[in-house]
Amino acid sequence: MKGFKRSGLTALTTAFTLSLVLSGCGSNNDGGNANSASNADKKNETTTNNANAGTADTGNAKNGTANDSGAESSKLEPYTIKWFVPGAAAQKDQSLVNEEVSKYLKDKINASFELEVIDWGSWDDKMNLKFASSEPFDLLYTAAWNGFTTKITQGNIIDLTDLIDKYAPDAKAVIEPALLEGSKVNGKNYGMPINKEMASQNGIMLRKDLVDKYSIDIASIKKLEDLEPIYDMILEKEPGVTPFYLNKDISLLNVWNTNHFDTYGGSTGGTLPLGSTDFKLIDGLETPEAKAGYELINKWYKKGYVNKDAATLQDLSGGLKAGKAFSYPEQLKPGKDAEVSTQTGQQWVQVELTQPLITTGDTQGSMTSISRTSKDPSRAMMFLNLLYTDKYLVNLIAFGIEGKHFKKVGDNVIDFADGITAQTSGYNLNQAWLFGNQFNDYLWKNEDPQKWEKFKVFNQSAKKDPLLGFVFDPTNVKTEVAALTNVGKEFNSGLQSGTLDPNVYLPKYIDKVKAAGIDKVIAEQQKQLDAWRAANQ
Amino acid sequence: MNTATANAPSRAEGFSKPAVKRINAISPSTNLIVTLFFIVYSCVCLLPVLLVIAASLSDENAITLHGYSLIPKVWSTSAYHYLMFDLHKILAGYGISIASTVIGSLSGMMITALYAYPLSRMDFDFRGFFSFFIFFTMVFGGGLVPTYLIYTNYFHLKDTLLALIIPGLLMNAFLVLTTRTFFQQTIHPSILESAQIDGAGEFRIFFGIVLPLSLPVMATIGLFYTLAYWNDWFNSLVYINNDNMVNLQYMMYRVMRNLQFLQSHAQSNTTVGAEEIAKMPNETVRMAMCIVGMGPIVLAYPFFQRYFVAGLTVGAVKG
Repeated sequence: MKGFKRSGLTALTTAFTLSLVLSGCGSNNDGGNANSASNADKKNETTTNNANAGTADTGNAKNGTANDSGAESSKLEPYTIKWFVPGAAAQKDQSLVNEEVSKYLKDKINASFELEVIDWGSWDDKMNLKFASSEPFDLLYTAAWNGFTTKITQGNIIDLTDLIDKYAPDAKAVIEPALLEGSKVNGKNYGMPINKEMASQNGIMLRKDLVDKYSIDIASIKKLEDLEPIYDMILEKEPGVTPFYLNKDISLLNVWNTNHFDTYGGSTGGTLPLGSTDFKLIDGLETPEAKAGYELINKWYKKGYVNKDAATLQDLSGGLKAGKAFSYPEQLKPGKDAEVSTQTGQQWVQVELTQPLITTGDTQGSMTSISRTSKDPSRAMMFLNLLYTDKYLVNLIAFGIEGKHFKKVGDNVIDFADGITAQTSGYNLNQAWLFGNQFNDYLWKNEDPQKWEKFKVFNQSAKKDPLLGFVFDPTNVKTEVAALTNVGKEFNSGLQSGTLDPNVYLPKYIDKVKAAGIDKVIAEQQKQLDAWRAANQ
Repeated sequence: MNTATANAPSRAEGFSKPAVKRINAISPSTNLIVTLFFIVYSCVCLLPVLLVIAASLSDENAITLHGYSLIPKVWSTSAYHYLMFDLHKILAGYGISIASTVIGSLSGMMITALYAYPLSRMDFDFRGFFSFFIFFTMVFGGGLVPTYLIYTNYFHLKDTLLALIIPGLLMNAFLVLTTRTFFQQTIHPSILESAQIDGAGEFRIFFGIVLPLSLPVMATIGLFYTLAYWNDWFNSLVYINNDNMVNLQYMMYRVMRNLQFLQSHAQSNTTVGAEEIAKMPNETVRMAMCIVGMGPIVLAYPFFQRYFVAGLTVGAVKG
């Protein structure tokens, strides 16, 4: 052991000096020796045939010979991988699951494992404080909607591109290429995207019992206007049921705008007209298409399709559970209707009204990033490599311990363990979309056994958004964006629920948006977009 | 009660007949209007509480369909049954809340009085400096991140009960200045002088004479501290990671925050949103949590009340 340590040290020192010489003293502050070793390795790739680039071995960087993993893990120093994810609540049996994972990882990469769930409401505050106080931890959940670009510009999460190539080649082979590509920022990966559905589709959910009762032919519903005769019938025959149930945040405009624009920016930024070839952004609110959308929902509201409190209602689920709604708009993916049926206790069927589209928001919808405060990013990446490829590991983290939290009722199908319900289970995070590779996940008994196959088909059939991979960095126009957000808050819920007449309020909206500086924001976006296109062609 | 208080000053002024209308008494009609106003005002304050209680006792679907009402349309105690599942958690939260409130309020009162008393003494040389020292903290704060760094990296308060007691709550500069003013105005220097002549030391004077005479102000700041500790969720949010160490208020507040967070992001993300919102406790459960959390603090005010009524006119110097 002693002898090994010494030789390891020598190898390290050699590697380090080499890397310094070879990389021209380029300063890189991610994970000291691992990085320098990888630099040395990269330089040596020209000379040594490095067929096993994936072997995890920092102390032995110079010889890229194959080792069996057992021997490897003994060479790695013991290390604790700490991972923060947001969730509904911390789980009672979290420590048991962490122990189980640690046992499993000991032989693989000689690491112990600590997953901590932080509740949604304090997630942002707590993570900011952790970064501010440089608390050491390795992994965290990141997403486009959750300040991904901010974390990058502040330097809080590190560039993973080389680490993925070096320590996670197996994972890289598993992840949908479009996901990995679409989650890049400035050509670099700062997050490992969770392998799952990567496109989104908008449409309508209809209540199954009423669809059956009036034998509505859902195959004939191709566009929003096709719903009108159905709604008229519901209005007439089902008093007390709202045909089209909305809250202040959702609207048919999701469907409408996806079908009428390439990218719709609304009040907060530029809009790309359908089929645009010159990539010139415009103010979407001024287009006749946008106005037509507002007019349609306003017409529906006047006809009484929409609930009267739509512009102020916060939470949709109460009304859905209580059977108030016949239909409501929803973001769809295969099997979404089954999910919603479980949540609301009502049976639903989904009707897709847009084609599946891969946008940056989808590809960056759920990722795992490595913190700048990680003491050993390479080890964190080795863990991720396992997570994406090892079925046992990902299910252990997502669903808990077999026999204690869940039991297998089929080859790939699980149910709660005996005597346990969703409420009494000590580990029921139910957020499998946080962890690695969803295509390796078990399925619950009530889920579609074909779910993952359908997801794959769905991913294949999706159209790429022309702006896929482009992320707008609002730093230069922060004030305007904040002002525009406020203007949006003032008008959006009223206009998109149909409560306000667009002929009166849309011009006012446009004036206020102009006053808040949308043109400046669009110009800034255009500048970044042009630069992005120049870099990516 | 009413007549007794009304007569107290008149006796002091030498009137002996309570039936005689005092010269500066307010007219009965005005009195009636004022009383009525406060009765209505109290009702307005109580109504929301009653509404919350009613909501917590009604059926979830009834609320969705008919909205809130003071008398539940469909009675149901399911929300409280739901809370029973987490009973051990709620009791633990109660324990933490009560412990931090009791320890924090008592030490807070003590520290406040001990700081304020020297400031009230004219013969204390560094009065100006220490007054400014405490006043400065009212005007300038370091902000959250530096505060967090100091408490976590230097004092290692993370995940301890002290983290719920010390940061931002233990001593309130405004209350120190209030207490100082009270000491200055109520405790006549001649009492202290006579005590000194009789041979009492500084501590004897403070604990034996000043504090007993200052019960009203101690009750006031005690009430402020108790409320501040009981209602604090921020320290739990920032300093506590261990789920068994958070206090009751934060448990409730967390649900609200989670909802707000998810709803504000429901539009912009596909993964999270509706699915996560559906997992949150529903309306009635939130109301029930509110009622459970109000618990003991409702009883705190009457406990302090007697000091307010009894003490404010007490003096100790013969005029």
